[in-house]
Amino acid sequence: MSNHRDDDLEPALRAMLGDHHLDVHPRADAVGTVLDGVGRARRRRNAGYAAASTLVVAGVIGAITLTGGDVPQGFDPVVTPSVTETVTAPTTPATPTPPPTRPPSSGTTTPPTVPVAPEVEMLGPDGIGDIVLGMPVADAYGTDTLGMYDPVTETLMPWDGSGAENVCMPAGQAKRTTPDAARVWMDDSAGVSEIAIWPTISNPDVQTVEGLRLFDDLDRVLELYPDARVDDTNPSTLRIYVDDWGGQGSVLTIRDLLTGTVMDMSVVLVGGEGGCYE
Amino acid sequence: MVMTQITMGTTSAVLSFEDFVAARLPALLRYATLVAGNRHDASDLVQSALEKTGVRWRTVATNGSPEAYVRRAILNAHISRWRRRRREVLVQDTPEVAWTAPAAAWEHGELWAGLQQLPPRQRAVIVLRYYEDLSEREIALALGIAPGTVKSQASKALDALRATLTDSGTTDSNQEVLP
Repeated sequence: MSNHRDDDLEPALRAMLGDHHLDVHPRADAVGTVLDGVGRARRRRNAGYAAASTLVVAGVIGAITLTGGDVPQGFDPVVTPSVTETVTAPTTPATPTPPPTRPPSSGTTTPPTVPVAPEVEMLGPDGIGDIVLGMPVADAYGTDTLGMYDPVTETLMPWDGSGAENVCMPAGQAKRTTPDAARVWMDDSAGVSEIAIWPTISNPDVQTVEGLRLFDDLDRVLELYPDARVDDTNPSTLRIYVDDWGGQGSVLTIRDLLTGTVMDMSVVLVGGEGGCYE
Repeated sequence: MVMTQITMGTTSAVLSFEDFVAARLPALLRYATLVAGNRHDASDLVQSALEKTGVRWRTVATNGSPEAYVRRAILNAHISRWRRRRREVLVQDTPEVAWTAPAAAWEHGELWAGLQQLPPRQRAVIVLRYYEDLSEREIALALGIAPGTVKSQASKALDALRATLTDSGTTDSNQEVLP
């Protein structure tokens, strides 16, 4: 781990970190507080499942309707939300994808179109795919491109319904990711406030609209963004900021270039942060 | 109440979530305090991690190591928060608030103070290495960074800690300091 084994620092660290002075004694009601929180989380999740079930039923009915099938009695045809798919357009506001137009009756059934995933997803000055900076939380969920980010397995999970009410919790931020693309932070007051990509979660085929990708080198960064602002004041990293990126009032931050390559890119709206952030 | 032996992350029987929390909460809070650097953030991190764990307890308890799961969730939440704060530095200079340990004469006071001054990722590397006894590779996986970055971060952290101790006039921890 270290070449500095010529002193007693490492043993001292072990002793300090294991010292009983750092023991933490929970309050008497701590277990109850945890259990109460789990109960609330379960209720939110169940509510989310119920909402998701409704959408699935609506989707099935809509699909039946579009393909000319019979709709079960007792159900009204419902316009379906857009299906989950990755969209390349970086600046498109979130609007529900209209259902495909049913072709003129020909007496035959048209097979469904299989969506083809684009090869590269664009991170632009105002967002990624259907996710746009400043978009209200509900609209962001409405794009149907967000999944639950599992903090342990680092895998994408279906949205568990924990919902916007969680995003302002002081313990953390909304952690939602577009499939294999980016992590999105949201809160009730500011909506989508940051979109970030980095190697552990992102699809390597994400790039900025100018063509910068993760693992590109510093020369490439400066070639694409010659007027970028360089911040080398932090001894552990090197950041480059592209202010007023694309004239949209957002800032592109490119991080950790001391390693020689781009390890993190994010776009934020300056002044767009909401009240829940410190 | 299910009687079961709880060791570091393993259970020998189906354990209720309540029993797990009651048994392991102090250790989890301590771990989170070391990672986060202060007890206020540690409490938030543990609460959040346990809520996530609790709603899927049956799966977590039967398929693996519950404590390892919670610790990983704590660490990831800490890293996410750190990333958030990095972004905040961009728009407004908001230094992380340092935590002061309970007042008492403490032989490790200088070293603890130095640990608090490390950037969050360096602090996490040190805690994982010297408290959790993880290897470089395990730390890299836990933090989602390259092993080479773990090595460089650890080296910088140790250099900084060494400098702190040198500045304070000691490289040994036998003096009494008010932490």
